[in-house]
Amino acid sequence: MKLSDLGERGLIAELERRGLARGLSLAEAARGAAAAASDAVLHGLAELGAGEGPVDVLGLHEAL
Amino acid sequence: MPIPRCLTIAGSDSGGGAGIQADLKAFARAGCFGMSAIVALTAQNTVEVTAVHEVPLEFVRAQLEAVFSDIGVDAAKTGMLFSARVIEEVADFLGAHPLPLVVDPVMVASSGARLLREDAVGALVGRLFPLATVVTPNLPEAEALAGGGDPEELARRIHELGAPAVVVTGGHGEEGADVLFDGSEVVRIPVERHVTHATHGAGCTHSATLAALLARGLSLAEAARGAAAAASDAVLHGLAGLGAGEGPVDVLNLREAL
Repeated sequence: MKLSDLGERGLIAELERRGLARGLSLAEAARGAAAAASDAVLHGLAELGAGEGPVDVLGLHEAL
Repeated sequence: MPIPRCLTIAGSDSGGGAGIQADLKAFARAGCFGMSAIVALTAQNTVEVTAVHEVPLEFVRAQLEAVFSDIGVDAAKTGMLFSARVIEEVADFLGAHPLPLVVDPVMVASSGARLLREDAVGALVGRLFPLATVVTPNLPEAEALAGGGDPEELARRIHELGAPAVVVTGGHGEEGADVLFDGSEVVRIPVERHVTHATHGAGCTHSATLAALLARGLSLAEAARGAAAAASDAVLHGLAGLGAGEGPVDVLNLREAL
C-alpha cells in the first residue's frame, strides 16, 4: 500500500489505525493521525505529475 | 532540488518483508519517491510462499505507461519477474524507455520458494541484462547464472553474458564483501556481517537502494557502497521476532521510532 494513493480521508484512517496498533487511545490516535496527515500535505510533492501531487508523510525533501 | 523518482518492477510480498514492499521502504530511506509496477502477487510470510498470482501482461504494461507518462522515472529496478513472458514484456517497454536500471535476478526466496521459472532464466539474461546499468545477484544466484568460482570470477562471467556491470553481493559468502565489476575494474566493497535471523528482504533492500542512489546521481561505485551499507544496516536492525521463519530486515529502523 502506498500512503500517497490513499487520499486525505484514507490516509487519516490508515494513520489512525497505526496509532491503535501502538496501543494509543482512539482520541490520541485520531489527534496523531490528523497531525501526521496535515504534515504530509504540508510536505506534499506538488511537482510530481500533472495532476494532484502525492502527500509526503516521510519528508523526503528534508532528506536530500 | 527535485525529488528523485524511482520505480520498482517486481512482485509483492504479502508479508511486507521483501519485494515491492521492501523496495518502497528502501527508496524512501534513500530519499527517493517510490513507484511500483507489480508483475506478480505472492501469498507469503517468513516461512513460505503459498501462492503466486501472475498479473496479466496488459496490466503490467498499463502500470508502466501510467507511471512513465505522468510522473516520470529517474531510475528503476527489477526484482521478481517470475516468467519469461513477463520478462519479455518488461524488456520491450524498457528498451523503448532507456534509463538507469538495476536488475536484481531474483530466483529463490529466503524461504526456499522458487520465484523465477527455470525456463525464464534465458529471457532474463538475453533480454534484460543488456538493458541493465548493473546486475546484482547474490552468491547462489551468481552461481546459478555462471557456474562455480569466486565472486570476482562470477562477476566477470556474468559480464560476459551481457551485463554491462555486475555486483555479486556477499551476504551468502564467507568473504564479507560485495564485488563490483564494471567491465574494466574490480572494486571490493567490504560489508559488515551480522549474525541474525532477520535477512528476509536484504537483497531487495540492496538493489532498491542502489537504484535510488543512481537516481540521485551517484556514480555506480558510490551507489554500490551506499547500497551495501544500507542493506547491512537493515539486517542489523532486522525484526527477528516477526514470524516463525527468517524475519524481515528493517531499513527504517522502526525500533528507534518507538
